[in-house]
Amino acid sequence: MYPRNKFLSAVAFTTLLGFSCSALAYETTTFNILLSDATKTGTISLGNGSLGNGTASITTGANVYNYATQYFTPTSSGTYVFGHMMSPMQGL
Amino acid sequence: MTGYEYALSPDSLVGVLASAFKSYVDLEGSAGEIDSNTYSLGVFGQHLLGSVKVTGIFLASYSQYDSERFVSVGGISGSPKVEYDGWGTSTTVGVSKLFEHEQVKIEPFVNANFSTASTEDYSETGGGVYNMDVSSDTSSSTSVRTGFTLEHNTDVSGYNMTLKAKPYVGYQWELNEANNAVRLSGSASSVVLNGRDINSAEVGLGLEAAMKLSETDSVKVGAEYSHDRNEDSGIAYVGYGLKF
Repeated sequence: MYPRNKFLSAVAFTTLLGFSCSALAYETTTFNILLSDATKTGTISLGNGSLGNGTASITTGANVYNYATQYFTPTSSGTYVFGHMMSPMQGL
Repeated sequence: MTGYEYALSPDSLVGVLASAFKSYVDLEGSAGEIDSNTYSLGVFGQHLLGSVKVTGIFLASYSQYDSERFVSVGGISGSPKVEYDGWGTSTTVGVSKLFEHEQVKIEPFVNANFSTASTEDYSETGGGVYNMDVSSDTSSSTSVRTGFTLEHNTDVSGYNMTLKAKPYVGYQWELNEANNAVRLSGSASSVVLNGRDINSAEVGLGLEAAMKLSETDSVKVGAEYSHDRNEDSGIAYVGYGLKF
């Protein structure tokens, strides 16, 4: 049997201190490449002798660059980040 | 946190509580920080039916968030900042039954919770091209939890001491997923960011030691740890109770 209320009123003061640790900083989204020819490599010819992050527009020309592309169809909404750490090719 | 309760009868009581909670969140990789202040008001009730206890608690909360992100892409850095508000509710009902054997009590329980959380829309400033506009949003979830409380009473230096252990398991379901529409302030198009999938089982353990200083005064210390697939969390508390 629970102890029954003997007093009319009660007050309580409690101090809390907590922590929380997320196992994942972001949701890990798994997606499937739906096309069999999703990866393509080839060359493109540009007028620019080098690529930078300047404002010059890219035009066709005699300078040959290798490229690689990866095609994918996301199966759920979210934020996807692509990039490569190092490569013999320039990423476009 | 502070609370006041009033006994309507030897078997029933009602109460109110208020709490202020401050939190600091540091994102991984020095990606930013979110500080928040949350203020809650609640009402609760408890009714005894012999060895069965029925409890209910409703909480409404208001939060102020202060966020700053640190972004650096291609040598261009920015620190978008923003302050925005949020609101939330939490409703819990629970049933437990007490079994006693000499100095040991065991009390299986089951409770159910329904929670909502809303944030207002906001626009970041001070971050240049990285400033984002974020839409208002509301999410909700429900959960059930079951376990038991094991209680042992003993005397320490003439004072009555109660030791409690409360292992439990539970499951949380997402009812309305968080899905803020986010766009860079300079962009016309937006992307909807769904919150992480919070459907998850959880396990937890609570421990508490309470000491009765007199017929009217008591102190307690306790800690609770819980784990689910997204999060590990813990909380420790000290409390003082006064009956009159």
